[in-house]
Amino acid sequence: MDSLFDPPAERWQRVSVKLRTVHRIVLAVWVTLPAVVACALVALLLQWWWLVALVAAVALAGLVWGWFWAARSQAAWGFAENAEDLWIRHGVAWRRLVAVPYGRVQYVDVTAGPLERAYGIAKVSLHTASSSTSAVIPGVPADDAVRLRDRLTELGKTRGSGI
Amino acid sequence: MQGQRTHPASAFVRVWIWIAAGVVAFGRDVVEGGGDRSLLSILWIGLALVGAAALLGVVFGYLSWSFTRYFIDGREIRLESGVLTRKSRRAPYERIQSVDIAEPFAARIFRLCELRIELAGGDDSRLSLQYLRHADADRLRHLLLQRAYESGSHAVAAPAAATGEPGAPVPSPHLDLSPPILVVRPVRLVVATVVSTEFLAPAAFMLVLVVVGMVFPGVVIVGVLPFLFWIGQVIMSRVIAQWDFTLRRGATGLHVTRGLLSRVSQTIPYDRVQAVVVHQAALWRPLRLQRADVTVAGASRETDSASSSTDTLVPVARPDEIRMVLGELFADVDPAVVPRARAPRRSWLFAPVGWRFRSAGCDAHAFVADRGWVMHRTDVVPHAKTQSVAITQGPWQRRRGLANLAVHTPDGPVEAQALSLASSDVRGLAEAQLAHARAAREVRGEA
Repeated sequence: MDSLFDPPAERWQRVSVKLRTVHRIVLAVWVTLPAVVACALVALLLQWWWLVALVAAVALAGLVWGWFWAARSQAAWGFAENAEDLWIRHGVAWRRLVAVPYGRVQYVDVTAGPLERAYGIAKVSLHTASSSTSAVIPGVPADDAVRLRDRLTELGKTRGSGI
Repeated sequence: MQGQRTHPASAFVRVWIWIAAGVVAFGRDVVEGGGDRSLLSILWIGLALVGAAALLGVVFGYLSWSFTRYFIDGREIRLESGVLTRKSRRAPYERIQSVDIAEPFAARIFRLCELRIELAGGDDSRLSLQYLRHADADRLRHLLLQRAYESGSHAVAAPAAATGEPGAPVPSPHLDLSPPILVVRPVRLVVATVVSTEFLAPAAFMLVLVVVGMVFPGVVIVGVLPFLFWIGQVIMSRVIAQWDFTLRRGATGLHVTRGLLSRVSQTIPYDRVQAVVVHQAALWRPLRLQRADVTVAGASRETDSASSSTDTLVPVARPDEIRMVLGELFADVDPAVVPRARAPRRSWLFAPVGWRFRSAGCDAHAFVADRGWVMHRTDVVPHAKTQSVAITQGPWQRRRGLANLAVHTPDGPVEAQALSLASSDVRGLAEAQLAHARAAREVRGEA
């Protein structure tokens, strides 16, 4: 493997596999609904059956691709708590690794939409004085997310050194 | 009603806005009225419109002046204004970040100035007194800075007057006589702007349009206007706003005085400076000229083009002068001596010419990243100001063994990014950067 995105300690903490399911459901809704509407419109107004078949095929291909993408994307997320910094990595093709020193964390958000709540996961976002930090960990089990937030907030307070 | 009033002539300062509105209304009337009216009647209408507007302006100006009061008490300065809906702005002393004196053009005509009080936090973070006499503004500025210091505002250091014997004349910070450390001569400013990309790009477009216009007359006028506007904006922000740029060393920060139409005096506080970027356009290289912008924590960043003039640290100067100013802000930081890792030859695919100009590195004091060919920039981030560090890599970069490194600082003109460096260098640089930043924070924490 590429040493560029290796964890600072021995291994990455992975995010919940339920993130795959959530991503798949969201993607399925966003692909299926427009595709069904488009197919119905074409079938009723134009009766171009080849176009209906084409749209359906593209939508199906999108669903199949999305199914595998969700798995790879979820597997690519990882975070690690070092002695001094929180490291987060993600991305399959376009990879990103961000390291945020605890002393720089200004506040930590935990957010969970209805779908995420149904699957018991949440998103943890770290904010520093820089908006380009964009340190986000999705798919953390809800209890862990709250604990992580409390721990990071506490560390941010004790190591904080102003701006 | 108790409290103090602003200067009575304030009522007239804003009349020009009304006159301008009257002129615009008159212009529209002329355009829409058609050509069947005599010149005399048009002139009368114009005079009536502009006169009425000016009269309205004076009336409103007088009303709003007479309903404006400011109060200074033990804890805060408060500004109450508004004719129909009363508005009250409070500035508690401990939230004061800076007190600056500005001289908008219209106010200069009346020999008045505006006192701007910047507050920490919130969107509504400025209170300005319009308008005061210079002597009053200077006295008030000094008083406010003194009170802010006493009530423990972190941004304000002990004013010089506080250490002097009581009763001594208060040295006016506005008429600061400490010798300037840098003065940008207008000639250099004009020459540098004329050969800058920002000026030449719209000028070239305009030249093309004029040449086209000679072949196909008629189409040019409309096309030229936006470019004229563009050039005007460049001249405003780069020449007019930076005219007679003077940098002085103050107790709390570097003191800037600049501007032709409206003199602006502002302070760049030492302890809130986050990072600096030094720009050098390709055409400035043979002239050995550079420009420097600065990111200041919590600075009110305006979204319009005016921000480019408030972020300016040095509008144009020789490299040794820039280095001197950098030394004023960050002791020990000298980008010239920082060892850099250069972008490898195989990264030419992502920047056919620019790869030669890309490099990044750090020493014990700062992280430095270079990039850009036509507009070369050197971003300098002192370790103590590092917010976070990120590595990114796209699929094509991975094939060539390249990656990007970014060192994040609070939002501002500085974006320290090393693009398409060798992957083997990037991880090492990132870890070194985190270690340096940690060490710098610990030093600050003990101090």
